[in-house]
Amino acid sequence: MTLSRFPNLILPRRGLLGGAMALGGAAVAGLPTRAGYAQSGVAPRKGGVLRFCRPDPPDMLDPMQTNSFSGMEFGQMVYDNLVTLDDKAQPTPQLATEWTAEKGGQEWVVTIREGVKFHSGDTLTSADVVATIERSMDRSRAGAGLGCFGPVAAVSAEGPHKIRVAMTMPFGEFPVVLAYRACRILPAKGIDSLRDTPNGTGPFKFKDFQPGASITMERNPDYWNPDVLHLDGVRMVFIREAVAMQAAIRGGQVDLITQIPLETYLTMRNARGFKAYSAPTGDYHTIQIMANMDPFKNAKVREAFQYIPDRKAIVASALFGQGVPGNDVVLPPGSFYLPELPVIDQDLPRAKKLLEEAGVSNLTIDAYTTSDRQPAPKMILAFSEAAAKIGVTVRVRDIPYTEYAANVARKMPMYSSYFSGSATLYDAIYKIHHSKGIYNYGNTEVAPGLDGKLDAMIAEVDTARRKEIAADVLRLLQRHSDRMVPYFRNYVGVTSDKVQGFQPPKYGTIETRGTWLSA
Amino acid sequence: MQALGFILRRVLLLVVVLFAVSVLTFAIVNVLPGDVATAVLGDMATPDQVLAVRKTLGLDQPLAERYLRWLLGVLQGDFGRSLQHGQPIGPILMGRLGNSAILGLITLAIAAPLAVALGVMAALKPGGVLDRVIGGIAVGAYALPEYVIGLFGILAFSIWWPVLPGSSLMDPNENPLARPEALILPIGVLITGMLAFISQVTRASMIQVMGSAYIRTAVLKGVPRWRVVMKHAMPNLLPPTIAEIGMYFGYVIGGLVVVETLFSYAGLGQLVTNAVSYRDVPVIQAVVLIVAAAYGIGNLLADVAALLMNPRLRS
Repeated sequence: MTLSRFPNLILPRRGLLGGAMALGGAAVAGLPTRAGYAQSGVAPRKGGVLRFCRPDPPDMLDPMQTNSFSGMEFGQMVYDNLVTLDDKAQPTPQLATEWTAEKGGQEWVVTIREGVKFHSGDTLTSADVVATIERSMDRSRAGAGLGCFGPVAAVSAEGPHKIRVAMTMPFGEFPVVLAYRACRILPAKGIDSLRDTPNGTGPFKFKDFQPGASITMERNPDYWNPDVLHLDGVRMVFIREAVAMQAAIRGGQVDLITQIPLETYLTMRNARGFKAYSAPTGDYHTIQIMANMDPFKNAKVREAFQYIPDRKAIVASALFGQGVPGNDVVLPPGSFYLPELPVIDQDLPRAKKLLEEAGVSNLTIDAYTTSDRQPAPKMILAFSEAAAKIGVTVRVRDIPYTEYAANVARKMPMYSSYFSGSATLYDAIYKIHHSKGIYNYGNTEVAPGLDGKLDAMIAEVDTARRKEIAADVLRLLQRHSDRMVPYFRNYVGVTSDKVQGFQPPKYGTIETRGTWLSA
Repeated sequence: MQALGFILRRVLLLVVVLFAVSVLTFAIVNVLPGDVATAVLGDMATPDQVLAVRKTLGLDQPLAERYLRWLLGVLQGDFGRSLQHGQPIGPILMGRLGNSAILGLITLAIAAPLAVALGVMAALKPGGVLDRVIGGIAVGAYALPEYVIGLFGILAFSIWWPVLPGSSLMDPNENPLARPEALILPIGVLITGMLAFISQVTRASMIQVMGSAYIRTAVLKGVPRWRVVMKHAMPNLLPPTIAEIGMYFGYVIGGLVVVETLFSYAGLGQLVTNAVSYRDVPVIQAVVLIVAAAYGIGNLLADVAALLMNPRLRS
């Protein structure tokens, strides 16, 4: 099954910008519809335990600190966000019932749903939301979720079910950021013990964790939105070997395998009794060419490298066609904010000429990658082979991820990295390219005036104007960025036929609300 | 009395070995690039995020201090908590040790007598058809890594001819024996490797024993062949074979990293694979200590068995 291409990745926040934000009116209220959740048109059957298989166990169970998709998926099931995104990437209520912009988006007032309980039995109040946001601002406690709620200056409670968030700048995307995978709402009590004592408001309660082997969750009987909860529980199991994973789903030991190698998808896409998914996402690999290190301090070298890879060939060979070529900007084709841009394609004579102009024609460089992040090594290898044709020696260094994270990222001039799609310009562009952005590895402003444009883009509350600024930013980034984006890759996964209501994730994590098992 | 002294000396030596293993493991794991902070935060983390997590987890303390704190805990029966997920290590370890022991001991119980029998049968007619068949299969099985045999097993019996589960997934606290079909493939892989090695060691020892003067004397005296083998050859064959099996004892308790990971079997091997991925030092330390103890105890038991079987050693 192949879904429609790039459905609404990075969309304008029409509702909030047109109404709530500029005018300070309420956005949406009441119980969430099920529009944001998977639908199949048939009355869902209640019961059954979804056996959900991934290759990688979670790094930890704290939903804000985790950096692994398995940890984030666990968070998706055990916790709730303030909002969720519908199929048009618009925010719809989850634990928040209303959100209102004040002072032109400089401040936001969020109303918290009443009557919601944590799995511990404590009632959700504004104190929990305040504690969560404050934790995300604390470098020593936030982990990977640092700054996940956006440019927050301060947060305070206004009564038991209302909070006020003051931003460091007008921030129109705030309601969408609230759906981000690190922005789960945590209990104030025991907030720093969630690593070993998970406690959320989500549809499933944590039951057991076998490190490296499985996580068991059971239905939360007090879930505030029972309409979307059909399963009795979810069991995440971790099988590292692709063949064993395939055997497990074929043998009926698991119902869903996700984050599978492309080869497994190709093997199973026509298998009877299963549904195989290949769906576009905003997920991409980069080749980092660090603008703060030689030889890439020289913009001509960076530009030359852009003309080396044959992107279509890489999509064909590394992704087996399950993706699309990238154009060195971080938004996938079809994104609302993506302007018309010149297509960057392989042009070896031009690359060679640029290198000669830069005075580095006989370049030898190490390119680091890790087989723990497939298919990045194939991408780097393809780049290396193309570079060799113009006399550039790129030595491929494939090292274990832990070493890579410790000694390569931000420290070496050339390496591969991975990013998942994001629903906001703030996550997709600002945090990555602003010189003070958390994911700007070189802390470099790669083009003069870029920081100012990025600030203006985030602060702009008018959609049309923001689109213009974003287009300007993306044009600058395409020419000057210190990261190449050779492809966007599809999500691939397989379910058994009895899994209903499953939708491939757009932003990295699978949603089990709305998923059910047929008899 | 001398035997008791021997055993006590070996136990004392085992304690020294375990101490040395713990120091070495701690040093090696801490010398490896990266730590739990970088492993958990990943490549996107800023240096100050990494520092903050290191401080939270106590990784900014001097190595010696961290080691001594760990050692004091272990001496009081407390293996500490996992750096990765914060859970106490002791209970996790006990469950995993039990699972690995089930897998390993079943393997040992089947493979050891079978391997000895095959080795003896092969040695009775060196160069014969049976010897060649057993030898050929053994060399082939020994040459193939467990990973390859395991993959082939999954392909053959779970995908091409789906009669067995391709993974040994267990519910938490589930007794692995409750679903024996899930144990067949991993045990099969382990037995294959073990049979190959022990049968060939047994064969070599048996050929040597059968060439001894006292065996020739017994044969010339007209003692029946089965009696020559069972009564005269076996007592001399068993000590070296048991020593080999003793070495396997440690392996089947904690060395099943490949098989447990391949079949997703919740044992010590899988636990340590995960712990190494995340540089979870206290878990690695605890598992390595258990495995080293298992090797030591296996050796000790083999020595004691050899002692009991050999009057010359007893004196």
